[in-house]
Amino acid sequence: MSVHPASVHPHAAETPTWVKWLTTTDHKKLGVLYLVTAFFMFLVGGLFALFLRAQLEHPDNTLFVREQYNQFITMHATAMIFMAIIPMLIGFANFAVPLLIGARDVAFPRINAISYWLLPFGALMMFSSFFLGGAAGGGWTQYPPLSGGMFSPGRGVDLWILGLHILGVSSIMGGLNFIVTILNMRAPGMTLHKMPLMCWTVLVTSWLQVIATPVLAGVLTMLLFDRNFGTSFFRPEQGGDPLLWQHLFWFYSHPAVYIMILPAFGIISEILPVFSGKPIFGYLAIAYSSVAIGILGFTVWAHHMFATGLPASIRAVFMFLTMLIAVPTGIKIFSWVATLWGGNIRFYTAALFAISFVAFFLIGGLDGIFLASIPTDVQLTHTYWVVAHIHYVLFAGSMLAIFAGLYYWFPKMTGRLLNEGLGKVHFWITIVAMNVTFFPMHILGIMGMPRRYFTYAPQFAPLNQMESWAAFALGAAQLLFVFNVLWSLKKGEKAGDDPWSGNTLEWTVSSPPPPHNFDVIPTVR
Amino acid sequence: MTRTHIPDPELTKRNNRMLMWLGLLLVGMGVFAWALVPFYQLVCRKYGVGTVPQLPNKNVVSTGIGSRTVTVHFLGLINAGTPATLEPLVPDMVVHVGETREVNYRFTNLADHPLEFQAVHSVTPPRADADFHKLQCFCFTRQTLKPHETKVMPVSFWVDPKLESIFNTVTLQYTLYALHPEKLVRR
Repeated sequence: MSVHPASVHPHAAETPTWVKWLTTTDHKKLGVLYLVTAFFMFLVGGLFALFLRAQLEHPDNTLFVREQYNQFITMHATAMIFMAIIPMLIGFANFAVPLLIGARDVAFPRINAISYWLLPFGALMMFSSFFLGGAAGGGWTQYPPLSGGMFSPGRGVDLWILGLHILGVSSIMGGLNFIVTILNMRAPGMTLHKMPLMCWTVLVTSWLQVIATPVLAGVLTMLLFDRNFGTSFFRPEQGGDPLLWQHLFWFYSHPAVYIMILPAFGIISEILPVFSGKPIFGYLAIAYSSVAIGILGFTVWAHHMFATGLPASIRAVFMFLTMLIAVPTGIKIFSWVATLWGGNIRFYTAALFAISFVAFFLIGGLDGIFLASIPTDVQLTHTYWVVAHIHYVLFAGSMLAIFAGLYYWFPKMTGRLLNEGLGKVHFWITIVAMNVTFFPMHILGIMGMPRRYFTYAPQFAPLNQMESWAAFALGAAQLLFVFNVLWSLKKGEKAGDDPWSGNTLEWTVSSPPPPHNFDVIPTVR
Repeated sequence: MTRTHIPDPELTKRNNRMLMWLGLLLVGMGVFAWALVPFYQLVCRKYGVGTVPQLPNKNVVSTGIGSRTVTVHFLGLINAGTPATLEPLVPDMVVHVGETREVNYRFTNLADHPLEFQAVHSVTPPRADADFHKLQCFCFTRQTLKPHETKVMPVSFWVDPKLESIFNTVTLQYTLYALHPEKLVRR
């Protein structure tokens, strides 16, 4: 056992634990804070989703009025994307990356702490709008003129913009920190090509954050000016163009889709080899396909705009580039399958989530191809097919990977294992309820049910009813997970340093690791 | 705060230097975002797409009337929430390419206060826009209607013979946008 430098500090013993957590600059503690805060936001966003599903349980439901429904749908998406999934993945990056590369902390621990603390304040700014005359109701994409002063009066959209600004600054600072950390602070001997794949995906994600987020900040500021200071970036009556918003917004938001999935690819690439007892198949292919996805991600934004009257020649180019992304993604899927192939797979809960990620993320990839193709997109855009696609990518993709990561690294974070029995119940309810909730949305989309409405025609009722009940089961399963975490923190089985026979450096130190991570910086050969 | 390790001055220097370069990149991307606005308008103006109000192109003049005919449909729309009506006096016209014609639109202000507005044109199919030339149009400038006033205003235009032969019909549509919509709608 190493001597904690903190324990020799004369005042250290007097500092209460909660003050230590609130003032910490330790990447591991910040990682845990990110995960706890973002998981709470996941529950809040989930609650909004259940409001939506309750409203859609039968047609012409009077549970909520249209305006309330619009606010819930906007804040559901905003909370899940900007306050839950992205920060949870950043939380994993915070906890794991310095350990994975053999560093004592990130390059700028205090910037890291600010990045974290902006998250709850950004969230508070947005949620406060519910009590200040109503939240934004224009959907998370906030297309003008719907989000302009005429159709969205009140302060909701303004607070949404300011909150997103704060979260954006947090995201940018996080990205800066990880680029410097990964490029400058790897242990001696750890070349880029020896770096764990999680670090590759976090590196690419960080570049996306630094390059794309300033564009979001710009476009949000333009909307704020249009709403409050009489400018006309998006107001056609003054020579502006609402479509400009869509171009600039998706120039950020399409790379943001990869910010939400690349670290998930990294988590899966760490977990699958450990539980199949084989080295990862196609290390370089996975690493460089992540880079390829990052670069291509900047060239496909207009595929969100196929139905806006863009010239056919431009649309064809974007269709081609979008289809091209299937190549690096396919490389990854095949590499993961090849990693599992012939392996001695140990079906712990972490492994179950990781394997089901590969299976169900694939559905999200395949139904995306229908949207990438112009003729089918023109039919399916703005229907429930799009809702099915985004949930297979973000829930069956990012969230399953996040659960895999939580079951995998929880013992390293806390020193105790999560209960396997409860974990398996959580896994099976989640998988079944997820598919019953989201798969029928494909059928509803083909039937022509438009997305984002608070009511629907009677012929869509049976499938909607089924989805609503499955959504409630999905929500209940997540409470089981919360219980598992709280129970295991106190009574969970002691994990030891290396409960999974892991391959990476974090399993060589104690659980939880000492504040300085490594007594001696390891040398990688 | 407790220090968990002794900082390495050489590493700190390298980290700070890299942070500075990344900061420059960040500023560059911020400038890039704002520069996209004039760039977008430039592209729209060049290709005649988008809703940038089009000014008369003085360099293009009709070189003579051709025998080919094109049907031009006229439409008028009001942006939601604006108390006004807008309609063409004729629904469509059959015109010869190169021939200058005139169509009248009738505007009515339904409100008790003056209405300042901008009409924004759109041509369908969009590829025909560049070959649809306007010589005179109420859309070139902002217009004002007194309370409950009705006004008839003309558009004179000609269709370029270069118009792709697959297009037999072209739709010219105007949308009326109030310039101060915040004064019109109160919720």
